[in-house]
Amino acid sequence: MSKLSAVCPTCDAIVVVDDNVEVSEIIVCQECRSRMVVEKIENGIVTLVKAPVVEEDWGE
Amino acid sequence: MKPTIGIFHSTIRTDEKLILKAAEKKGVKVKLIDIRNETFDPQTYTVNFDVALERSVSTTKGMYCTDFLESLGIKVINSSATSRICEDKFLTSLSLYKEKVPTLKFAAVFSLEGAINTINNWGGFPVVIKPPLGSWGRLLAKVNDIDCLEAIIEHKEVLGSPQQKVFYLQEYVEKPGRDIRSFVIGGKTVCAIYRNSSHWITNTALGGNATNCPVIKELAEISKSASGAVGGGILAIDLIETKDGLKVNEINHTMEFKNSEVPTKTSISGAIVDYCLQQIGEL
Repeated sequence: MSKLSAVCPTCDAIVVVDDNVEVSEIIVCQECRSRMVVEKIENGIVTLVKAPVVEEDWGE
Repeated sequence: MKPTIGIFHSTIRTDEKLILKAAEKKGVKVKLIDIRNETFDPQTYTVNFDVALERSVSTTKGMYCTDFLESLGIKVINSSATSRICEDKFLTSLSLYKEKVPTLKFAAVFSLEGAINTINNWGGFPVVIKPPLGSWGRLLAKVNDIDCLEAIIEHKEVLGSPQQKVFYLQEYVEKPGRDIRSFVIGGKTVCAIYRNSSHWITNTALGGNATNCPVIKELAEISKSASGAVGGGILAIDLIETKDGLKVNEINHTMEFKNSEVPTKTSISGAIVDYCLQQIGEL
């Protein structure tokens, strides 16, 4: 079980985050399904922000 | 000492996480570098990796990143030459056509009249209209009749960016409820998937599901030819099964593969790491 958790910026749910999470990683809230990005990880505290809206040149 | 792969990213998708995991498993060092925080000043830039893997979700930023790193003499995967062709559907089609790789009929036009003439030459509707730049199946349209064509082109002309005012036309081919994506690394097809969907757009980003596709000789050969036509590297090649055999539809140069490792039982991420090492003579 991961020791890391964060708060969903959309619905305030507690989001469990993998221990090997990276800054800039996309996370999906298990409660409201909104997409978030890891903004920072400091002292075991993960901060999430809403994922940016898809832009015209995004893709693979 | 094991070399370090610099992964140039923006948002980190599951695909990048798989690459990180594969590298860790192989004991390869990785440096994550967020393109959005970089300053590409050739006078001050410090290089602390051995080879660069460009994985930006923004094609534009990724392209500038690749151009910059190559200007410093750094090996970048994929190369700017390959990326520049693959980011643009028209350039991709031109490269395939030039090298006689089977592909769908295509044309670029800049007006409604040009589109009508082309469609008449091809034998009529339906056709597909796509933005030359773009991905994930966004803004594709299957145009069934002249009313639809007029509406789409007018909307693009009024609302679109300059890029959207280039109308890339492609013949419409009935698919057997699926298309094929081959994962081609250094010219070799490491695995392939069927992208199954009842919708005419089979992109997994739009809900198409992935199942294993055996890599038969025809698939391996056309994939190798297509890869060569655009300069090679790490590529996902989208193909359509037609009555005349396989034809290449599009080629992706920062491929997503997260849904494909399980059905193909192939470590695509591991093959990506190995290819990076091979490119600098470390494997």
